[in-house]
Amino acid sequence: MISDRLYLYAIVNGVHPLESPLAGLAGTAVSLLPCYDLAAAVSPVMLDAVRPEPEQLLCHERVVEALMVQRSTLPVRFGTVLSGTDQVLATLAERHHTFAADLSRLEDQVEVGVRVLWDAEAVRRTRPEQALPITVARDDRPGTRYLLARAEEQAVERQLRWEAERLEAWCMTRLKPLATDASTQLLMTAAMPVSAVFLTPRTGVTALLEAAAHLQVERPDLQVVCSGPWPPYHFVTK
Amino acid sequence: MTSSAIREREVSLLELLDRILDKGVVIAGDLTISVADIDLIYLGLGVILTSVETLDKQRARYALGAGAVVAPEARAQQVND
Repeated sequence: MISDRLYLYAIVNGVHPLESPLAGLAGTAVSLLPCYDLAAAVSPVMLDAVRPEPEQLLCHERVVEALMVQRSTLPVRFGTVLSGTDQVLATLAERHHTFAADLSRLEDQVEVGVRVLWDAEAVRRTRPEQALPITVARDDRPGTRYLLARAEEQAVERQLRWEAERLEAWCMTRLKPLATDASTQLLMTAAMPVSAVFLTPRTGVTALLEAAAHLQVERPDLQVVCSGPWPPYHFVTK
Repeated sequence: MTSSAIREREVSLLELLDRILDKGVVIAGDLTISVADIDLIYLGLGVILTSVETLDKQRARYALGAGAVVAPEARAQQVND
């Protein structure tokens, strides 16, 4: 069966050919479709063959990372299939200004993920009593018990949020000066008070990881886990 | 494949999922990975925590497709050395 569509891996700077062959999904050859000073990295694909399965996800990532070694690269979200060359070139032309600006801004930049983990139950147990903002005389009426329980739950959540914000500030104070840009999310899960990504030049990765390691030394009660360097997925203009 | 290799692969995939299914340049094409798939990323983050905690206990380094999950204390040791 002939592949009838194009799978898009990334937008890259420069229209010169690939330095070495790249294997895309299902072993198809990745090629570049030039448009002005940019190019789209694509390979032929059958529409119904693309699924978010481990082998395909890793293949997508391998292609993007191989491109990054060669030139400035904007990673495209997994699963982007276009109808053919005309649609790819029309997309590049339509958003050329945005892509060109991103490629310039993100040249030689990578992202590093930093996740701060805690024992959520332990944090809840150590919550100071004053976190409950009101004092109510205890009685056994169901309505009172219900309202007290609700107030208690809300106080705990506020306290966890406050603790997460403190940890975020701590991380950012130490790591943000080493980064070009950063983004954080608080309490993505109950056990993850801070999930941060830092954009940094390739040459700055080691310093960032060492600073993260020092955070771990300071707070052995937490787990500071880093990943990367990754292509700058979090920092492209969607 | 050993159990640690399987776990390593799971963590690697979940970190990857968090990025390539939810971030990156978005271009409207002929295929849409459904919202249900995206939700799986956040469901999977719970698995990341379990896996990462286990990894940390083992004080080992695990290579990722894009780099490495750093065992922080191991790195700190290197820094101090």
